Amino acid sequence: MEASKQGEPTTYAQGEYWVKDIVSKGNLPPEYILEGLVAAIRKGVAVVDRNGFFLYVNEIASNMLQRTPKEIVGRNIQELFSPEDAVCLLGLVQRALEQGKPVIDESYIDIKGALRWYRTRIEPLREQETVPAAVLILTSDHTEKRTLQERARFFQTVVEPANYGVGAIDSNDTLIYVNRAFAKMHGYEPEELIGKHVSILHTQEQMAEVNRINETIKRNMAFAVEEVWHKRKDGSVFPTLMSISAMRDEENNIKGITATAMDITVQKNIETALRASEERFRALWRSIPVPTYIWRKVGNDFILSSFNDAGVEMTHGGIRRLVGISLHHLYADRPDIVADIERCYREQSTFSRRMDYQLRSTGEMKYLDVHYAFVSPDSVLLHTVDITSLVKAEKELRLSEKRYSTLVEYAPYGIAVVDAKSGKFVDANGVAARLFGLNRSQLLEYGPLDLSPETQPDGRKSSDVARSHMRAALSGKPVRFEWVHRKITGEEFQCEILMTRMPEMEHKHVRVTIVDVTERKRQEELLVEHQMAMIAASRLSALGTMAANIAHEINNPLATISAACEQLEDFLRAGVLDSEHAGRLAGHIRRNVGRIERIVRGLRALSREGLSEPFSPVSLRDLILDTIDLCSTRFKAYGVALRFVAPEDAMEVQGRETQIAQVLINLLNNAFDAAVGRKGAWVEVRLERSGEWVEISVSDSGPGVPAEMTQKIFDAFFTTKSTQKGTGLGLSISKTLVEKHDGQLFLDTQSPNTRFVVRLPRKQHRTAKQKGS
Amino acid sequence: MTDQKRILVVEDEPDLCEMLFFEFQMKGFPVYQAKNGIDALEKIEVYKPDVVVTDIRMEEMNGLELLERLKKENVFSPVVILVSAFSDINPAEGYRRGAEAVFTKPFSLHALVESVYRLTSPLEERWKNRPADVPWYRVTIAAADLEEGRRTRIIDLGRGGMCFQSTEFHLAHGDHVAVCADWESSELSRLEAIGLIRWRARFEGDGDAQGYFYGVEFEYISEETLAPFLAWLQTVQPVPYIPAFEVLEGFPEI
Repeated sequence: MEASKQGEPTTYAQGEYWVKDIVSKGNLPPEYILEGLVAAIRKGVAVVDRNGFFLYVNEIASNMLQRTPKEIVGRNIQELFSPEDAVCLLGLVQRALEQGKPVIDESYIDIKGALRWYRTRIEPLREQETVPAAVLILTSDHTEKRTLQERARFFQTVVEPANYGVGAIDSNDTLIYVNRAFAKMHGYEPEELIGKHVSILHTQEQMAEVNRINETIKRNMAFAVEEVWHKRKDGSVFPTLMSISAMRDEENNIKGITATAMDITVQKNIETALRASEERFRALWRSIPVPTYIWRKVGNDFILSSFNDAGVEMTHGGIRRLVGISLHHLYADRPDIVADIERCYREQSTFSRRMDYQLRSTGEMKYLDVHYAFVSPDSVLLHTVDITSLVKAEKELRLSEKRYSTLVEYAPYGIAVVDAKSGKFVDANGVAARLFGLNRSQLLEYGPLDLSPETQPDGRKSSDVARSHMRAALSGKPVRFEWVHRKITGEEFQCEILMTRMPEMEHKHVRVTIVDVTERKRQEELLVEHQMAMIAASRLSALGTMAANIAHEINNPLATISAACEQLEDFLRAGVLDSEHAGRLAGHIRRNVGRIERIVRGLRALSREGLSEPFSPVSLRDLILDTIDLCSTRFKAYGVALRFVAPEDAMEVQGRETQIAQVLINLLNNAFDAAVGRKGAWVEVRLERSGEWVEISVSDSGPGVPAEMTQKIFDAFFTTKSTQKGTGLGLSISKTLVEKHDGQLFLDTQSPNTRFVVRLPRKQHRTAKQKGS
Repeated sequence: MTDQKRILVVEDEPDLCEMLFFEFQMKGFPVYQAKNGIDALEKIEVYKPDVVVTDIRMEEMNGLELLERLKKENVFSPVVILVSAFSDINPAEGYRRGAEAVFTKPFSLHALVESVYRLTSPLEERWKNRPADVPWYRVTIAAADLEEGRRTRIIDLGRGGMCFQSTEFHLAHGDHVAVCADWESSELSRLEAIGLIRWRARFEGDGDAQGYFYGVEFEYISEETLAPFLAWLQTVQPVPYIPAFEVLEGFPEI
């Protein structure tokens, strides 16, 4: 705009002046001079009389009206202009003539349908005789200028207050315009910059770049957006983002360059910060210990687009193979997860859900705490926190709590909590309440002492005993004792109490376990009775067997003796008894009497009441020999070989002969029963020393004790024999008897045959008296 | 003496074995010894004894097994006398299995020798002598036939005795009893005999019925009934010397 102003020909103003001067002086120059002058003026010039008839037009004016001067001169304004413009012009003419001074008007005038902006100056002319009152109209077409001005005004209103810089340079790289923002971003006022070479805004290095860009723009007449570095007044540099375009005149010649510039220091900083932040985020995201996955929306589906290191670890690397997989495909069986991700995407929300989850890669079952987060613009991020162990622990805890409370409530004994201070129950299970014949809430009105008799069976006062127990329990030591309680009905019952301090700090509470042992005691007594009966029965049965055997053992020698006597009598009667016969028969009798003696001795060992028998020296060798005699013929009769292996000495121990004999008979009977009925059956009794012990072992050729029974065989009433043969008490009683000798009775599982070992200490540690009592 | 009966003593007690050997030898019997059942079978093969006196409890085939083997071959010979120490066998069981005599230790040698004489006598002679001067009880029994009698546990007949059911309570071991048995339809329609009670067993029948089963060894059979009995014996050749009803379980009383 400025440029076009500057470009106005100077003669224009001068010409105007001249014309005005001539006109005002009324000294019209000769016609040729006027013509020349008018021609020199670049304005339309016309002379109109007071009625609006054109007296004169110059070429410019006729051109403006797009007519020849001949078409104009002699015609009226009303004929040449639109009615509105004509009225207006005639009005101006009238006003100029009346006022006697020039009237200036600027307005659009319709010239054959096109609106042009004319600046019109109407000068009244002095009336002369030859010239009627007329006006001189000087007109210039300002349409272009007006457009430019309007544009400039628009430009200024838009550009000047803009917060981005706008500037322009002419073809000599001189700044011809800058707005305030542009100047300010460089630290200048606009006035300081206009007219300066553009290099004021750049360092030398920056200028090279600026020249390169400007050359490109000029050469290609192009438009560019470039990041350009600038220099401020204070010398500091800053980045700008510039849109640069060429400025052209009507003929499209480049007249200069305009540019907008934006200080992008902040953006630049933000960008740098962003980049750093992004890198940090990436590092963070990769290394956060929470497995994280990103699903990106693609079409109607999502694909797995990313995951972090923890995700790799959690899936044991399996996730790597799943990148790019379709969500619907992967989770065809988990519509809930698909729905979650779709919801997260749809609502752009963030939420969490706990779920159980089977790892696709390893099949492992997990409990996950999954956080869904929408990540703009198109992704959903899943944080998966593995809470498997937590959930398990929780479940375990819940279960354990439940178990615990069940345990307490349904415990087969009463459990109650007693406040040491008040002496009252503060909590109790149902069993405890029922023990006293109360319900739970009723029980809490009482204390243990309210539900006890005055004195305990030992004569001590209940309150005294209870106090000392309570003190002991509070000291932290669990206390167990027997107690007689009294039901609300007054009925007394015997119980076993266990008192333990509760681990609470604020209260002195003691947990009391109450076991009603009345029934147990009764059962125990019954059991003992029953056992005694069984033992007696077993003894009887053993006795029956024994009696039969003994009768047999004795009848054999008796038969011989009786026969010998008969023969003796026969000989005597016949008077043929000689010393040979007599001696032979006497020998038979003595031998067989001796046999009976031994048997009776063996019987004596069994006949004594074992418990009252005092401990005394027992020769195990002799005892075994006597015992073997008791059953030798039975073994013989059933074809079971009976061997006895022992050193020569007596092998004396302290003990009760009867009991040891009973054990031996029992073991021999068992061995016999196991071995009998098989070919080559045998039983071996072995007596030997083994360190501090004397060992009697009884082995047999029987089928052996099955491994699963080796533990049971010493239990009372356990038997593998038919009911006629045994009650199953033999081994358990034998074990008891041996243990009363501080000995051991066990099955030697290392032996290839069934081998029971009785181990007796060579020296009794306790005296006979103690044992006997 | 060739007409003397040969005797085999089977006993594992050396003293007793020697004593028996000596006793029979003194009485003029040819005697042989065996120390167990297997040994006995070999000796029987060689010496063909008329009488086998055997202990019961022995290793290598006991007396009962030996008895079974012998009676399977010939119920009449040899005669088997069981000697039991005490509890190995109930006499009723011994007789039922075919032993002609059952002795329990200690026993009388004389009685043993006596029974050997008696049991080796011919069947025609054995039951001819009516015992004199002994009190006896009379029992009369009637049954449809032998089979029916056995099935209903009223009466059964063996080679040397019988068993019957009676509500009489006063009969005891060792008592003499005169039995008169009638069968409606048998070749053997009647038997009149006097014998010794060798065993009895309590029985409790339906309702109030109770009493004893008795086992009787014949000592005498009436002349009129002896021949049909001997004929029956040869036809039937029963193993039991004194039978016992099959349904009896155990013989608690002796």
